[in-house]
Amino acid sequence: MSSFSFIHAADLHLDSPFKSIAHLDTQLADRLISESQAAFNRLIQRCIDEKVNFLLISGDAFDSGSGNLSGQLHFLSGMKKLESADIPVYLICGNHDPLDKWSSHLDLPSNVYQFSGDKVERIGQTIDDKSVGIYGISYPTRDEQRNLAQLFKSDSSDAFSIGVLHGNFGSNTGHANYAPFTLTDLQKAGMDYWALGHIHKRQIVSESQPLAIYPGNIQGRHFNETGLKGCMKIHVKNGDVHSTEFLPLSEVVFERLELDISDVDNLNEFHDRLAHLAEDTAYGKEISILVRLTLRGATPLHSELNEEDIRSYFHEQIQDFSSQFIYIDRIIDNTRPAFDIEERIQSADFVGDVLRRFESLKEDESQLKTLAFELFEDIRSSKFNRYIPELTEQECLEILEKGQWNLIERLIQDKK
Amino acid sequence: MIIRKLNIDGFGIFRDHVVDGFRPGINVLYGRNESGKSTLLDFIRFTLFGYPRLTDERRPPINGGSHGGTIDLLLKNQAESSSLFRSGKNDIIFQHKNQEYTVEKDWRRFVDHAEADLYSNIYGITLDELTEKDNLTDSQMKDKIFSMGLGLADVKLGEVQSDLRKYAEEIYLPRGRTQILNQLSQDINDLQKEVKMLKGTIDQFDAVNEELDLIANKRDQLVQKIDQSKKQLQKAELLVTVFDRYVEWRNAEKQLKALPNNPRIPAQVVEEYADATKRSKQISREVQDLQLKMGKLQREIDALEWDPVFENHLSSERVIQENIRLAESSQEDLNQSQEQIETYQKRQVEILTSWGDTMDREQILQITSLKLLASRAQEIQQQLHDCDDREKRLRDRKADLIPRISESNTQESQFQQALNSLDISSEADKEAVSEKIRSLQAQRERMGAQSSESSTSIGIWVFILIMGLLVAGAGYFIESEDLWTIGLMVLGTLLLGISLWKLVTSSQPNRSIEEWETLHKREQHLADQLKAFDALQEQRQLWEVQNASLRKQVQEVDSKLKEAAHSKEQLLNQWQEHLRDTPIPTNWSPSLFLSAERDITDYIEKEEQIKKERLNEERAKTHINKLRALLEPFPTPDPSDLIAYAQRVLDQFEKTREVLQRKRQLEQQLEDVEANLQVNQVEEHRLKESIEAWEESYLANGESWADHLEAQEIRDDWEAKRDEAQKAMQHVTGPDELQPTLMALHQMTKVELEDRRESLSQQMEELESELNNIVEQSGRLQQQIDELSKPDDLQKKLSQLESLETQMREAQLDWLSYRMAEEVLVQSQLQFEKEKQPKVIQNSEQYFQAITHGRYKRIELSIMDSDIRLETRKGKKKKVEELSRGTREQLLLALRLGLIEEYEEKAEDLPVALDDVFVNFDSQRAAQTAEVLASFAKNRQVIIFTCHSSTRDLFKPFNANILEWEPSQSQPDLPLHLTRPKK
Repeated sequence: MSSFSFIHAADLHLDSPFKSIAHLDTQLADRLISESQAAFNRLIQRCIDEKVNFLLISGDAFDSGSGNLSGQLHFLSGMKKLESADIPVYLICGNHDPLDKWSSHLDLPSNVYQFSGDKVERIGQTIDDKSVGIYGISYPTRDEQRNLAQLFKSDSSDAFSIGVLHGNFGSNTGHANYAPFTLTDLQKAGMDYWALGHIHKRQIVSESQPLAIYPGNIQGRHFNETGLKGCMKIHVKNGDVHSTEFLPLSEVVFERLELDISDVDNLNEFHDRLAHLAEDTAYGKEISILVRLTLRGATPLHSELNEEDIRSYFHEQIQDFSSQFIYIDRIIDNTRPAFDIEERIQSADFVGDVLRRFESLKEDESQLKTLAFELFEDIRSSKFNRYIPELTEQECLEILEKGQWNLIERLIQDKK
Repeated sequence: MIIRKLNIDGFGIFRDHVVDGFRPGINVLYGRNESGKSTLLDFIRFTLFGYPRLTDERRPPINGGSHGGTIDLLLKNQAESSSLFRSGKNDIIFQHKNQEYTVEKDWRRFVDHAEADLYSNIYGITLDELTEKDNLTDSQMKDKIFSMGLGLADVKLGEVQSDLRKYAEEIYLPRGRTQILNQLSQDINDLQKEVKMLKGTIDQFDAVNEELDLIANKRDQLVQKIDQSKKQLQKAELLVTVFDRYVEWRNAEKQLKALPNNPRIPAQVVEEYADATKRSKQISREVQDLQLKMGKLQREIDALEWDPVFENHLSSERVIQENIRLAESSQEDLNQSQEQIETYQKRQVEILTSWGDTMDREQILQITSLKLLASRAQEIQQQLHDCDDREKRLRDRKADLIPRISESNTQESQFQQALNSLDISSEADKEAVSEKIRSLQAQRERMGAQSSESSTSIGIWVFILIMGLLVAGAGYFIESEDLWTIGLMVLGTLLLGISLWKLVTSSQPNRSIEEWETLHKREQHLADQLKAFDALQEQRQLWEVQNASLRKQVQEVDSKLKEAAHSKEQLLNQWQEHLRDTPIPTNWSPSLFLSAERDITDYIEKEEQIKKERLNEERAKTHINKLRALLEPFPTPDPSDLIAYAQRVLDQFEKTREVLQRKRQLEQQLEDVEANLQVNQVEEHRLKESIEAWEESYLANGESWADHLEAQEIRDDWEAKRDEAQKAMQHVTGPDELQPTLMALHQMTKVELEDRRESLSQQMEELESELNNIVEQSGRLQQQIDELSKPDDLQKKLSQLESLETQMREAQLDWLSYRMAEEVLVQSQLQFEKEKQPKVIQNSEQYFQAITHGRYKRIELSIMDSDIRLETRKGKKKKVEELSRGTREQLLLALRLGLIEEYEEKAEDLPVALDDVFVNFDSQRAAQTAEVLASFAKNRQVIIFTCHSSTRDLFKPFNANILEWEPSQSQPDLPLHLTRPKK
């Protein structure tokens, strides 16, 4: 075999909702929804444009939890387009789209092979008279806890072996621990390439022997899924991986940005810094960005900063979301008044007392959590009970910090 | 801490100013309004605790100088002063005990980490702070008091707490309805309902699809049943339909059985027999016609007539035709040629005549190389012309020279006459005259010298004459008779006389002058003669030269004329030589020859043309004769007009040809008819034989062909009917089902068949109705599937739901932050109340007592209970609301003083700054307050800024350090002038 190429994509999540966006108006929502479909369409078109030999999908094509049919239908239409272009698709099901959640009345076209959930199957594809073995196994149901990687074993007749697996590498705590596996499991199977899925952050698990890659999802849906998203194009030459290339597919990215305004003394200067925010991002002119902006620093503007005013000012240029935009969803104000707290906390007056009290809460996690718990008692006894969030220690500290500054800026007024 | 001195480099209105003379205890800084007291207070605060971030608040130096300055101070329990320098950019240098500290934190340690706000809240007491109380409500007043007690001067603690509570309650309030959480919760619920409706499309999709599958199965079964029923019904209908045909078929079968079984004449034979019979009759008729036709043709042939001569010479028709045209054109050519010959000959005669018959035809024709002769004639002619031109020029030249010569001769006589008029006629005469001139010249020169001397002396004597006149005139006019006057007169007279005498005597040279002039004239005359002689001689010489030249030229011209004449003669001789061997007369000049050359050429050309025309003549005659020869065999009634006659012959040829052609046609037709007749006769015979043969084969004895055919037709009809009925039935049943159909029909009547059909039809209807229902149901289900397959808003709704839940979470976290802040505030207040407030109250009570002169002895203050009570001397407790305005002010001040004392138990004391706080105090209260402050200031430094002399005077009894000052802005180099008032 001289050479061939394929595209590896995973975690399409065609109909999954977008999360963690605080201000989602209708137009933005429409754009994001269409963007998630557009990313998938771009995946299909790239397969055709790049004239790949086949497409691998490593699970979670859609989100069965949403109970939405349109995701499956949209997926089907993409597969039919690839059928017209004679491009085979090898597909495994993941935790979000297990076999038992696929509609029995939607027939996948003939170019799509969906691996079963009983055992690892091998599908051979002949390229230049050489056999390429593609191995895969689907989740029969959502809750797959077995180490599926241990079931893979390459055939000696393969000129090139590919394992397609949806699972959690090394018990990654950021994701649900389905089908956990280790690097040793991957190495023992004898594959040349592992097409992994489940973890949404693009990463290379193993550089070689074997090469194992999570391509990440094709469209970010959360402020924890920042940066460009897409798929991987793998080029194989003479039985070895010759090159890997990331193909970006998303045109709307989530991004967390921080702005230190310690040296900003007035609102005009602040607005200028905000306006230049766009220029500081590293994406091209076609990419729209959803931003969660954190302001930091000791500044006299601390008491003047208002999230809604800032958002309104920044967004007044946005007519609609059909063209490229930068949208600040939330502004987290971690600024503080411009004075030396380390000094102030040592003063013997009432303000010093207040600061010391805050400090003691910061140092005593349990006391802080107890305080939070007690205060939430008000809400807990109300109908909003079910919305009370579970707070991490870090979040408690941030809330306390915010409260501290809300109080201190009211207590400290420099008398002229 | 005690401030000792302020060194201001640049701050607000100050530049390079020093404020010196501060002491512990009370310091009253007294200056007029707007003199910079607040600026100084800010300088102290900024230098001690840092310049603010915002430029507008930093008091930049408006009169120049570097921004910043130094405070000389004495810390608590220190013997030596320290100095703190701070620049406008917050660079510090704190010099203390021979050490330098440049880090802010290090300096702050010395003031126990005090900050600017702390200083303002605790140590800075302003007028606004105290007077604001007048505008407060009772609860606000309490709030103010509590705040004051806590060291939060400008802050109302109650308001802070309310503010925090307000923000929290905007988010959540128990049993509230308009809060943010309520709104979010409502929105979430609404959205969840929508989501619920949209969710589960996939299950619905599957369910509907399954139902659709069931319906499809049912439909298939029904369709099968319907098919079967349809087939049965079709069969029943078929039997009914074909029953009538069946009857027909049965009848036909019967009839055929009854007919005799004769040999059948095949249709082809019948047809052929009919054709043959018909044809035979036809042919007989044709034979008769042909025979008639043959006779007619023969007669026509016999009637044709023509001239055999023309017949025999038909081959020459074309030739004659061609020769006619040729003869016609030849006749024309002949006439033309004869005319031309005549014209040419006439011209030749003209030419000969024009030459005067000097040459005849023979001679002219003998002329050869005419061109050569012509060219030679031209050459010689040209040369002759050249000679003539030269001659002409020479003659012109000569004509031009001759007058000049005669003119020149005239000039010679004139010279002679001019010479004769002179005195000098020769060179010898000239020499003599020159000698004479020289002699006269010498004479004259001698006389000239004399004359010039005389001229000079005349001038002098004229001068003396004038002088004499003047002197004499002076003597005359001076009317005096003294000697002088007389002397003058005499002198003048003498001078006059002498000068006159001299002048007179000088007139003698006039005669010399005349002589001189005469000589001169003579000399001049001789010189003129000489000149004239020389000029004449010169002219004459010139004339001689010219004259000689002219004569010479004339000679040359004559010589050339002779040459030209000789050349001409030679040329003429040459020409004649050329002509000698030709018939051309030798006396013909070249020009004559040249003019005749054209005629000669013309004559010769004409001769040539005449020859050509004669040839044409001959040719034309030949053609004409040829035609004549061709026409000889034919009768020639009048051959004078040969062409017309030939034309007539041609006409006759045409007629003869037509007749002959007609004869051939008729003969050909006759042949064809004969051939045709033969063929028809043969055919007729053949047909007769065939007919006989057929009759012999098929007919019985005595039977006619027509009878036989009739019988055969009847059979055929019945067979046709039978076949038709069978075909119709077969068309309906199909070929394979015909026999079974016949058997079935054979067993049933029509009525029975119709009944069966009816019942099957009914069954069919029922089944179809059921099928329609199922199809409708199937359509509805498919519509549902299509509807479910449409893109919906579920993903958008879910995303919006997530967004609302995020907002809900964020709102709760915000609420929590406000509640935490409030909680910490309350806890801090409680702690303060428990740990510090007692001491503050205790201190404050003392000051309050002192300020109120013992009217009040206790202060009860509970922040948590939000209660303030004051116990009078008599033990009565009063609320704040019951206090007078002044008493409230005193309370505030007492609390502030008490707080300061409490603070200083743990921290470095700082200078207390009061900014014109007494302005609204009445005199008594002011005095009391001054006393309290003086006492308060015993162990600390208090700086009172005021522009009121009354305030200043308040503190005089207490040995306060009064610092009066007038900042000088026009002389920035001068230190701030401080004077101490005279006691």
